[in-house]
Amino acid sequence: MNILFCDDGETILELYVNEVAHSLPMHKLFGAKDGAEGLKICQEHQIDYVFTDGRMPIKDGIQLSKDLQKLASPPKVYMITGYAGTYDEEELLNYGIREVFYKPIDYDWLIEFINNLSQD
Amino acid sequence: MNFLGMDTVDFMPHGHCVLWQEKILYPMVASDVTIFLSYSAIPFGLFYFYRKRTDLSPKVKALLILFVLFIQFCGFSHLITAYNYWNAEYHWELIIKVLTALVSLATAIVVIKNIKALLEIPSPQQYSLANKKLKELNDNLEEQVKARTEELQLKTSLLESIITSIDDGIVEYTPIKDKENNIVDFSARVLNDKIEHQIGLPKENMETDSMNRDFPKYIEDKSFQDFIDIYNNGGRKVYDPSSIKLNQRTYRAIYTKNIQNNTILLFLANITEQENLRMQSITNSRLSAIGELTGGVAHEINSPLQIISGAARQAERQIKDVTEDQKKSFELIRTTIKRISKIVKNLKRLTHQASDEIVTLNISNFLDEVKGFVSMKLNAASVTLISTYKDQDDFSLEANEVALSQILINLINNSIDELADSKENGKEKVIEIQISQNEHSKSIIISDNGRGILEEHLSKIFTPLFTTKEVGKGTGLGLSLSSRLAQNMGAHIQVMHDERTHFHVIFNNKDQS
Repeated sequence: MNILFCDDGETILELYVNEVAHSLPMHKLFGAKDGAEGLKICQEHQIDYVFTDGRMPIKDGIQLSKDLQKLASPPKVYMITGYAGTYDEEELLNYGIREVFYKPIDYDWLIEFINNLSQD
Repeated sequence: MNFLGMDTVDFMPHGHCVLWQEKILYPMVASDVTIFLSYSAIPFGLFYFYRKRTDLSPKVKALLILFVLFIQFCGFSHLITAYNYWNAEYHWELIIKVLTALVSLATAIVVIKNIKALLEIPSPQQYSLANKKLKELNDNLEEQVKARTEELQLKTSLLESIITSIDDGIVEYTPIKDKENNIVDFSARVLNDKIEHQIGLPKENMETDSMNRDFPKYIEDKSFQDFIDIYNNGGRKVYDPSSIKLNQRTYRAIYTKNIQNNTILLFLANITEQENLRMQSITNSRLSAIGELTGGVAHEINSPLQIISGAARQAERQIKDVTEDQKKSFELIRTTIKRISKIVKNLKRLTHQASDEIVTLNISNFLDEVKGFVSMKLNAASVTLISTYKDQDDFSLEANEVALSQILINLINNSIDELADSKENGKEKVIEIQISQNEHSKSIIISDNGRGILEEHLSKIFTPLFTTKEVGKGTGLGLSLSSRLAQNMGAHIQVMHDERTHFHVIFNNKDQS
């Protein structure tokens, strides 16, 4: 599976990729530091899953998801946010965001979640 | 007859001089007698005048007496002249004439001497002129009095309409003084009926002939001293809101000296509604500020936590042969991250909960959460928190989580501040959280073993902006907000005092409230 992590925090991005790569080496992992870069990667590669931050410079998570829906075969998008409020999840679903997770997420849980996705 | 060596017995009577001619003699005699009678009558008139005019000056009175004597003697001189037409008693005539001459001389001297004073005696014309002027003045005065009376009536009616149209209740306090002129007491009188509307009690409740006897609290809370200050120094004092609390109402009280009659006037207005609105708006803005702040803080904390937990995982994985101590350290990092994460989640949940939502709380979990919020501060101040609320599963509470946690955090923070300030070394600093319930109510009790609250502060601690903390440390809003938050969900806060200070957050059972 091709998985893209999109977060403006460089360290966080590195940790996501390192932890998932360590436990699930069979997947190809990509990293992007904002929505625009994420969209570019998705246009160039066939990405299956996107885990994106909410607030990012240039293009935020919601706009990224909206743009991704215009691709021929859009990836499935999840959001991992540090935002303190709560999102209207139904509205997010309209933009193609399937679920929202709030930081800090447990890496074991993330690995388990991705593992389950790959088995579906 | 010999008189002073004069013997006139051989003299001829005066009738000889007119040769006893009756045509001359009788008219002469008749004229003299008539003059005598007339001259004798005038003194009666003058005497009558003298008696009746009691306002005459002594000079005028003396002059009048001289006139009486002068005229009477003139009369006698005419009488003796008539008598001596047939007789020759010339020595009598001489005596009378000499006396008349003396008296008339004296009268003439006195008249001339006093001519100036006599001239000043107003003439009837002058009198009537003066009277006329006086009357004019009088009429003028009457007009002025009439105008002034009208003006006064206007002012009085204006004053009356002001008194009846203002909503403030007005009470007049009159000082009672002892023999040394010191004010020892005040009496109180209600001046308008609005007071009943303002205090919700009959106005008789405010009236007294002795404040000391009927309102002894006003000495305790220094109002008596304020009264004396206002009385002695004038000016006015405004208490907005006042510390007076009657029937759960909040008042604005304005005391002012009434200089006209040396009393003190109190204008009392019930401002409970405004005060509630004000407190509501303070509460709301405070809560929304807390919401914004925690929201921002949560966001800033979550991302670093994500990094710490990942970094710790990697570090742990990279170390070969992890020692037991290292394992413990990593475990500590994990549990601490979870705890911080939980606090932030709770904060987020709390700040996003509707401010009037009432939920049923599991008290044990709820108080654990509250403890989570204050644990850092407790540790920093070396304060021990004792919880005795565990294992009371039958204790559930209907409350607004945000409000109740705000209240409890405020109370615990106050206790921590107090204990941190107390300089008693060696004494263990303890805060205790208890819960208690009876058939009427359920309470959460926060107590500490600090120095307690001064008696004189007890009545003020729930007043907004009252604080005993140092400048910059306390806003004076904590307890007043807490009290307000409690009221909003039908609870109230009571402070009790023994060797410890206890704050009770009391929820009356539904059927009791």
